[in-house]
Amino acid sequence: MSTTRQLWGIGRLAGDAGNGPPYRVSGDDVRKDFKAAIAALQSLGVGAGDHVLFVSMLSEAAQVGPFELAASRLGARYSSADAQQFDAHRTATLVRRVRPKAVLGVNAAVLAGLDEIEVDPAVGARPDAIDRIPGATWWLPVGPAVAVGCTAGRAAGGHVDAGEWRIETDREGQVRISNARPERATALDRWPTGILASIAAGPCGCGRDDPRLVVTTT
Amino acid sequence: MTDERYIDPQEETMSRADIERVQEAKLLELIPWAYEHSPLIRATWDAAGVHPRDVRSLADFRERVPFVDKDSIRQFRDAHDDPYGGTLCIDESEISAVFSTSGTTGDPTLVAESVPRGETGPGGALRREFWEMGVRPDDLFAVMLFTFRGPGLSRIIRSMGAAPVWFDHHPDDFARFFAWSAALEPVALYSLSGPLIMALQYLAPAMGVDVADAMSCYRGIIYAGEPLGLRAKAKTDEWGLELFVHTGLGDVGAATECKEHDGCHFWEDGALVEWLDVDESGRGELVATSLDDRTAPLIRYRSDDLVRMTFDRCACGRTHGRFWPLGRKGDEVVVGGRTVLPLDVWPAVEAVDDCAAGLFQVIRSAREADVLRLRVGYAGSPALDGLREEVIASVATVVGVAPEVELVPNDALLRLGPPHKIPRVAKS
Ligand SMILES: [Zn+2]
Ligand SMILES: [Zn+2]
Repeated sequence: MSTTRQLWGIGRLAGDAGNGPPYRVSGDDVRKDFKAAIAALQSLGVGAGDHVLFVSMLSEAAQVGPFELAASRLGARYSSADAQQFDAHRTATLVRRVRPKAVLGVNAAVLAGLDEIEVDPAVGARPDAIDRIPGATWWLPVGPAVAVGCTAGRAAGGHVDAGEWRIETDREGQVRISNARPERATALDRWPTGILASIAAGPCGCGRDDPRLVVTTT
Repeated sequence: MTDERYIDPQEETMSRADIERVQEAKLLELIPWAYEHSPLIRATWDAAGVHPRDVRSLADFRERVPFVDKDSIRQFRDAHDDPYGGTLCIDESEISAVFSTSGTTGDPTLVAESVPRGETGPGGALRREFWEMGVRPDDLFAVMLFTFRGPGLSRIIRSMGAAPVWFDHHPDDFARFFAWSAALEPVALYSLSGPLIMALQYLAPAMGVDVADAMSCYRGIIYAGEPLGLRAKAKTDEWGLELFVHTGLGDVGAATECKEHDGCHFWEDGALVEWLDVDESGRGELVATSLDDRTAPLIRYRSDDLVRMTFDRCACGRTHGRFWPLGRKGDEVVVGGRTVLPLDVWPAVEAVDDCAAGLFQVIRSAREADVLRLRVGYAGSPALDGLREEVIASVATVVGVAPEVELVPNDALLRLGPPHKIPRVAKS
């Protein structure tokens, strides 16, 4: 357990139906997640001079924050919009004005508020939106982490950082996630994510060897 | 809890002469930089025939420097296909992030940010208000907000040795907010808004939650989004919450109440604030210049915000100016020679029980109008003819103008806004 001063913040585990523990992340956790986020953004083709737009809710800051830091480290810029229908106009404005290389975290609520989604940028979509965006890949919040798709395409699934997380499926086919490193500020042991997926462990076309979640039903 | 009143005692209580010395020194460094690097500033100054060498003092600045405003930024943006409207003073490759304003009055304005690694970034003076609210090292700070303003707030909280707990600014997150407030006992909250207070009032009882009890851990709560209505104030007083009204400082920063609750403090060591075109009723426009911003500084930015302002020392001992927001210049309606702002109508609407939520819009097709037209929200299913008469009478008494009133259910108005405010003025 970390002291408050070592904490980077307290957020929410994705899929938490209301009874999950506060998701504490320490500065040290964020440095680890940040390294994985760099690999994830690179595997989407993001590099120096690019712009990344994150569509998320503030309660996801513990998961999204490392990606923001990663964008900066790659020499890319980032912007944020809320993953709510009322804020869809912001996603539309930013897509038009800053021409992002990747738009990550698009959900059905934001799609409902958009006239159309530009096909240009790489789109990382959540399960409730991915079927409606041609060419989109995965932005799949999974408890404390995000499984992110890559240039290998939607069918390849979304990578989960093996350095920090151990994933397995239970008897019902639900993904369960555990800390790979005991030092993390929040101890998770086979936490039920509510996601039904299979796990692909082999090498991926994008070059990353982190395991992938391949969603069967959303 | 350490009991020093100020976190930055020297800066917060410096004399007026010292404030002006700091401002002048920063200004004289900023001006050549901005003229050299900001296409908007250069174009504006060139058009006005003013050069940085003409400005050698605060007095010169006040006398000679031309204004910019939201429209000039938008025009520059559209004319030059420049997403930053000519405000950007650094190379695009040096920008770390691009945030945006809430954009309730049109499309959001982009705000470029460049924060060197390990630094807090803009808005750092907020730690002065957070300290005043009672935040100390090792405390937790609940942040219930949107993502589009970026992570700056969390950086400021961490810079105080405290840590943020993140929530969505939405009633859907209330259950977790109540549960974690009890479990984690954060001492401060950023922020409540009018619609959230209303939602707390209606949803908490149904959730079996006593708001006063559930929120007793909070020493201070930032209130932002819209002016604080009398009903909402009475409700939060009843819950025992201390709200600190927080508002924008003309897009160059923020202004926040202290424990005296006597106007919103702005920090004059980081911004040069002017109060211009003050009328006989004491309403003037807030004009702001950012003194520390080298990324996209605004110089003599006309905010369109009408305020009452003072530069007198506050009872808290701070020497920096304060203001009371009154409304937007662009929202004024002149009816029969009388100038009316949404804030003037507010107490009249919420005084009517069925309209206690204070949800209304002023219908404004032009600045001058023959009649004051209002769209007013109501709760439940009251008899509408009687209610309309009641609203008309209340507005006539408070504002001095009898309005034309269209009644709509509260939900119809709430749907128009983001979750923290609704547009108070509509064209039709
Ligand atoms: Zn891959
Ligand atoms: Zn004060």
